[in-house]
Amino acid sequence: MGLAAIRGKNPLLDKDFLNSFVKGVLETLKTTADTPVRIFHSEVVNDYRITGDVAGIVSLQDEDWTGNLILAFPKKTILYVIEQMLGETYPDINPEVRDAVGELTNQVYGYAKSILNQKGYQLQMGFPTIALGQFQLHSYPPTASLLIQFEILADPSLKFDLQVTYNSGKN
Amino acid sequence: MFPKNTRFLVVDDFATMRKIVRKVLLDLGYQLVEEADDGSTAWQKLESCHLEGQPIGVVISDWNMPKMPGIELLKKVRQDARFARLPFIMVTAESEQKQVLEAVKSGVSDYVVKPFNSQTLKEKLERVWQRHNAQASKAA
Repeated sequence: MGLAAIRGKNPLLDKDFLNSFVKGVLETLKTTADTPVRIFHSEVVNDYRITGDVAGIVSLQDEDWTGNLILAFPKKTILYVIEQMLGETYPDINPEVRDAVGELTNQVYGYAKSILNQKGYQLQMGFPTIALGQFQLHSYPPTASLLIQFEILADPSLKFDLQVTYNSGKN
Repeated sequence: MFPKNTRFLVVDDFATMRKIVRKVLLDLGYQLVEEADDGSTAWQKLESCHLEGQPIGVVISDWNMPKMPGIELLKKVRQDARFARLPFIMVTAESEQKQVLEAVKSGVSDYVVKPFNSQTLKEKLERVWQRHNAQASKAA
């Protein structure tokens, strides 16, 4: 999709946009955390609901729209990923684990941003924030969001979510 | 490769990434690893290590950090005669062409794009050492 086609369009309808985030997750988990993963479910949702124990969130800021990238993990999944990543076992979600979620989110976003800005998007640099605890976010006013659920190849019972939300117009 | 008594400065706002880089350096036999969580702290560390007679031999820095990003640190380093030839590797998720060009123009020694594995970082270090060594031989 060229620059003219991108401007003013909902990025969730752009296959390249979504693929860049999916590739970001696949590459980051495989390379940084030695954890190959695969998609097992994806859907467009309107009620913006994420469940998990810890999540990295980056605000997406383009020229004429905003959104969010959210990488959310249940405790069991993130503790497995961090063990693979750092070679250290953590019994619980502590500051080190939260920091690692931030770095993973940062890498996924950086990977996608690099691809997308070469294609004409104008995504700005963003710093991840971390949400902690059993949470359900809702009442957010996006026009839509895409939920992609991944599972870890070595243990498919371990799953996590990537959610990309889109909000037409700047905040 | 860099001598084993080389002092490294690893700069990243995420402790996880500092830990990963430190682990690679330890695997390579480097014990002297300093850390900083942003460019301004890194600059203080560079100056204090220099004043204490234990100068930093290689900087490995992230780009995207609060307060002072890696690119500003790189520019500051290159403008200071004490550090102008200091090997400086940028390790970052930012791989857009314009950013790579900015880093090259600012005098980066090499560029590692996240996500990366330990082998990639080892190869970059080897390459930077060879280049740095060749420049030092030429200057001598």
